[in-house]
Amino acid sequence: MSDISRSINKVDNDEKITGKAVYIDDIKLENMLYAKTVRAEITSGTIIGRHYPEMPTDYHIVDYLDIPGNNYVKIIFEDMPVFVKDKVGYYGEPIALVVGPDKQVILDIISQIVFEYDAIAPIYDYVDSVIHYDYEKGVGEAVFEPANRVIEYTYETGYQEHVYIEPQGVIGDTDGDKISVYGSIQCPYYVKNALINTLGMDEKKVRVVQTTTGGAFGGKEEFPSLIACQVAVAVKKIGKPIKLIYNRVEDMAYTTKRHPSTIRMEAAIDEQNNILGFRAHVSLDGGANIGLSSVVLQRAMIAATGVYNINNLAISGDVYRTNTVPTGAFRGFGAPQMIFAVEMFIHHIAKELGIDPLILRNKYMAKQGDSTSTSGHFRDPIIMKDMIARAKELADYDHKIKLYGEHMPTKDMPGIGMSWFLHGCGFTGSGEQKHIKAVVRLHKDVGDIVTVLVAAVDMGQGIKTTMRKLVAHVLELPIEQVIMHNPDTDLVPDSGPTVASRTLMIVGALVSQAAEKLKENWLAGKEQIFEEKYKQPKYIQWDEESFQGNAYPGYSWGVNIVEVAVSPVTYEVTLKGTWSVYDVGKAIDERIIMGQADGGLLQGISYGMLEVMENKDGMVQQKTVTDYIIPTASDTVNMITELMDNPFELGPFGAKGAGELTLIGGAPAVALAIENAIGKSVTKIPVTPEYIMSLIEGE
Amino acid sequence: MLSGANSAANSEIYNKIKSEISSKVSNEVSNEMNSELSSKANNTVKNSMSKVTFVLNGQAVESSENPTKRLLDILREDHGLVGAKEGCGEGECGGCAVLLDYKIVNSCLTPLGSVQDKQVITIEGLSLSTEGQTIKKAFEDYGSVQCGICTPGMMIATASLLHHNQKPTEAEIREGLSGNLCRCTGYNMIVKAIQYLADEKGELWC
Ligand code: FES
Ligand code: FES
Repeated sequence: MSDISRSINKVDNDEKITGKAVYIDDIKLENMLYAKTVRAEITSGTIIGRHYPEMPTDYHIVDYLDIPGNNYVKIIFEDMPVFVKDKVGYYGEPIALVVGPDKQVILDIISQIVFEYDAIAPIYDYVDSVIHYDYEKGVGEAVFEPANRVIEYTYETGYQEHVYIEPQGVIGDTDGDKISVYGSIQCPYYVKNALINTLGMDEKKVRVVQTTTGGAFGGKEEFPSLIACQVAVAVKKIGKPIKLIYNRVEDMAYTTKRHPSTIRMEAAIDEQNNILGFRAHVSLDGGANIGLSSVVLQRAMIAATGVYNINNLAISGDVYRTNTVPTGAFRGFGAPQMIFAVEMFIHHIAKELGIDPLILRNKYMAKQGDSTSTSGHFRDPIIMKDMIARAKELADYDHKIKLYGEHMPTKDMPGIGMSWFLHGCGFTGSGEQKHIKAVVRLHKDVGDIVTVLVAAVDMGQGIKTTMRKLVAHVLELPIEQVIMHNPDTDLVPDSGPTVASRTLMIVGALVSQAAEKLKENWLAGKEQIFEEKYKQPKYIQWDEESFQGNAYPGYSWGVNIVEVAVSPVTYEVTLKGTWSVYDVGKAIDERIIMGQADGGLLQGISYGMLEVMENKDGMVQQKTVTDYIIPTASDTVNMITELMDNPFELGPFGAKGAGELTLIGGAPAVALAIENAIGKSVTKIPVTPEYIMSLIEGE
Repeated sequence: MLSGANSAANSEIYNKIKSEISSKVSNEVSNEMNSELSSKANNTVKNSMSKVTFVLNGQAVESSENPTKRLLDILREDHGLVGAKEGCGEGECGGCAVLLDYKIVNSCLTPLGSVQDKQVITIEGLSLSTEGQTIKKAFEDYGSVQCGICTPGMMIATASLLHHNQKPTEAEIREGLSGNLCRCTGYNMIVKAIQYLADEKGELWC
């Protein structure tokens, strides 16, 4: 059998390159109407009066009064209304849709709508905690009593906007009995369950179909459920197909973003300069709705030690409600914030103690068998030592780190930084077992064509190619004999959402088990169906209350080295090089992983140095791609990446998660490179020229 | 003849591509589209006045739409050519890019009236030409495509770049792509594909 990692032509290359792939905005149904959202124009308060104009024929207002079921979007917390009834939580919160055949007329109608409000003072500070968790490891808090010294730093991270190039969009349709929603989405069954809840309809009467998705990065995890519910309510009322597509400004101003955070880190140090333990507190800005924030907070808190083995911990965290646009899922899900803080902190501790950071980091780098932050165990081999050595060699790190950081005020200041990181693959704790309960199916028809029936979506990460390749490899069939379509909830079982770096490792493992069974029982020319259900491995013991046990079935690991030059005049940062080594178990398709690695790292680096989004008086200030800068090809360099095999026993062919991992190390690596260049401690991202100036010139 | 004759596009290669595309368009692109086009053309001929005439993927077309209407909407709505995507609507993302006399433009900022007598090639047309297929093969081999929403624009940008500069340096390639945003790939594998095209397939463009 050939090595599965050898790359093949992606199955959707042809349709995507030639412009034939059908994205949601490319679909036009007969008699289709358009919808546009009517939004609140205060940040906090109550609606006390609604004045809708007279509607021309075939134009409609759809609001909370039209909702047949529950007026909340079924996510984790049930606090996001489908349409505002009276209480407004943030500027731009959706109150109604205007629906009709002509977009210009719709805009005219919206301009005539008037709401009366009773506004109240909004909250923007971290004062209204709506979720609180804490946990300890070892002796916990008590380790600070015998400490010789306590080192404390506080780190801050900003918003990050997904900027998938295809904005949010859905189309709803009905045959008079059943409601179908098509959309650019990550999680068909999240949307379906939300529709059942809001429409109050039987599950058989609701169908969700994913259309080719032009980027998601977490932004199409929970948010599409909101607009799908709105459009479905409108379809139910009006009985015609309806399309709702966000323009870029709406998308940037009113859809979920990465949680801004403030992370306080403290280390207890003994007389021999050993780290006895950490105390940390994570504050996340949840915006107006909690949504998924509790799960994001859990992941951030569990990442509190990064790749290091620290014996005693006291970790706490809060999600704060503010009168701002809700924050939500974004590639990495709380880990990018925390890994930034930890990687900076370990350097700052070393600096304070006068130790070479590399020596300190190596001393605490976790090894196989060590305990995790939540007192579970790293069961599998950790090959970070080799990965770090290789990355350093590729980047000529040891040489450069000695050379750089000498200040020559007339020349660009060179700097190099290295981050080490890990990512727990799959849902936290018993999430797979308790909440997701994944089911996958393989269907073989009489022509011996095998179809993979899963709810996983291809949003660019190439899962259609990797799933087909997996099955073809197990069955020793040509890939053309294995099919996978965009999921349609009428046809595929609920294999769970396309999130949390779980798709290949968890869903792929089930699919390859089903393929093994099909192979053993293969009957040529006969229709056959094989189904697999997720069974939690015995070693996963997790206590959700106390955060004790194995939080994840497995971990992927990475090393990023980033080199920059900082202008001594403008303090602008130029990227000079990146070198990365990853352990994702075993790549199912090497080129696909390398591509994900490039894109993930660039998102991470620009999160760390470029992407500025501010909220002023409850309003997002950067609402266009002119104002919110993401890197272009000119801002980017040739990125060097290598993979090291470290097969994971439970993953298909040894594969682990890769999607999120590659974003996580970017911000700390670039922040450390800038710190190296300017010789000042960086505690905040993005590291903008203004921030560098304030560090160099003092406030 | 149309006035594209005076532009940079008036090279042999351009004419070659044009004839390649137009022969393939009539053979391969949906007949439905062609008949739609010709019926439109007939209509607009009748009510004369402010019609805009241009060459779309090698075929003469006329539009009686308001000349201030965005070319993007004309392509997507009137011609069913949905390969150009609206990512921002303000000229920043390059998702809507097309070739206008073989130079990249953002069709969301291009009024219909400004393409009078010019040659417009969309991804649908480009991908039928030898150049388009050569770029496509390189994108496949180098892994340049992820979610694909930026890809038609990247194809157009590549064609425009290589048409005007057969041997671009890495910096010139990056500059040539800088009007096209991609959030998935980090550009690495797109740049590599174009480096390959410049190194190995230069003769196609010169
Ligand atoms: S849609 Fe035209 S440049 Fe973005
Ligand atoms: S491939 Fe997704 S934006 Fe470029």
